[in-house]
Amino acid sequence: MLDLIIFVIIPYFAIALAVFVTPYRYLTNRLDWSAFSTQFLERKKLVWGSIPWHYGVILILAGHLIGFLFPSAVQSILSGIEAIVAMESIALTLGLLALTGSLVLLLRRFSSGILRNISGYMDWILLLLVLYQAGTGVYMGIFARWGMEWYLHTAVPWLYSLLTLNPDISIVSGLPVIFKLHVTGAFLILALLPFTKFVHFLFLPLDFIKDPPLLYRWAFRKKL
Amino acid sequence: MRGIITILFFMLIFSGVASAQTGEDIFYTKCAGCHKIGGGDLSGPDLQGVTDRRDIQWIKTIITNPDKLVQENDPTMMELIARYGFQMPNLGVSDEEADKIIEYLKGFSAGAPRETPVEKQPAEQPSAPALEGDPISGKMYFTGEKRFSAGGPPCISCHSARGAGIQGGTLAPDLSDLYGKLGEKGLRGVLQTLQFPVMKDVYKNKKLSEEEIADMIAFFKETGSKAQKKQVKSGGMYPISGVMLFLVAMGIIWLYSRRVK
Repeated sequence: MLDLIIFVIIPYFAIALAVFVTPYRYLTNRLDWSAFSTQFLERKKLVWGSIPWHYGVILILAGHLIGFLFPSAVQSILSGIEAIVAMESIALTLGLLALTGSLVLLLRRFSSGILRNISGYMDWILLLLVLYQAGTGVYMGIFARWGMEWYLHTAVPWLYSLLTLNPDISIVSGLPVIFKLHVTGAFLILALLPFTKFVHFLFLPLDFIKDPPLLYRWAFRKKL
Repeated sequence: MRGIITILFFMLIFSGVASAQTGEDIFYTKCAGCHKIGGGDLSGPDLQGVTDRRDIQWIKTIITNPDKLVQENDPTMMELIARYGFQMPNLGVSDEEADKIIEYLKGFSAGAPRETPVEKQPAEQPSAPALEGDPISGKMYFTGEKRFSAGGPPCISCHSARGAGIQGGTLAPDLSDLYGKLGEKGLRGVLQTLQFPVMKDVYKNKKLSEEEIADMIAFFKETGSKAQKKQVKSGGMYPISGVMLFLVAMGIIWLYSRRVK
């Protein structure tokens, strides 16, 4: 029953929310469609939070997606033991970046008085969720290797079975608890997507990469 | 703080996933790799009605401590070893778990209300003359350099073994001494069915071919041999490699953060 909740009910619930509420919000309330940058309030720690987090999580997410979309291509890349170690090392690096980043972001929000005052409870939930997600991911990377291989043969077929509306949980229900925790976290994040500042994830600011760095100019400047 | 409480709540719920196993759960985790209940033998005997055939205490001993029966030269045990070609391995089942398993098995005894149609299969698979496997090929299947023709994942995804040339997966047991535990016949039976949790679903429509099984057996035979046992497990660089790369990435971020002053 618990497996049914984890692998069928929560995922469908989350997908339904993401698919139906997101366009609704886009059409009716686009004004708060923002990441609510706090760079203006705290800058020094932000570098160590935002940058590792975003580079880590975007690439990791892309990796999950590529494995899902092209399992046989990934499979052939992983032929050969050097390839497995190399790919898994890169994945672990990205995971650690995301973990560090989210941890720094959480501590930063907590330690800066002005930031703490403007933070709503959703800010805390989101940060804790992504920290939790990065943590369970890194834990599996280290203690349940080689996830890149078994992901293709367990999680991917199960996700396909979800998408084809013929959910088959037999293949994932025997996996360890840490995997179930990671899956649950993922779908909770998806469920919160349309209601929170997570929506900024739907706009990849690709133009931003080629922009010159932003320069803040002050009329006078004290040593920080 | 409401958020934190919500999250703690979810964590609490899911921390209970592993506990509270029934006899059936344990059976399918630890026994179903080699035993079916009704429908014939796998690499171990069919357990339907086993509680009628054998003394309960004897069943408990073979579940929790099979080696003891061998040491005592128990006639039934000896007969089983002769018939199936290998001794049932010690699976580390506790007394408590054994009681639950026996309770579960009692449900399939002759007196139990449940009825399972039994299709009797010959105890022995009609075995063609055993193929001579190639250990190098077996190793390549193990690591994924060569792919199983039906598309099953390589063993290394979840298992490790000495002599594979790489640290293996940690999701499932180390298979270095599998040959010693199961013997050739047992190993063949296990590889033909792969009736283990997760594996039975992953390989459901991806059974290994006879040639592949022969190669795998040859590989396990070599890995379990004494010469290999002396070999130190090749120390892989994972996950240290990932941590090192991570430090490099943090260094790059540091340089980047100094770019604009």
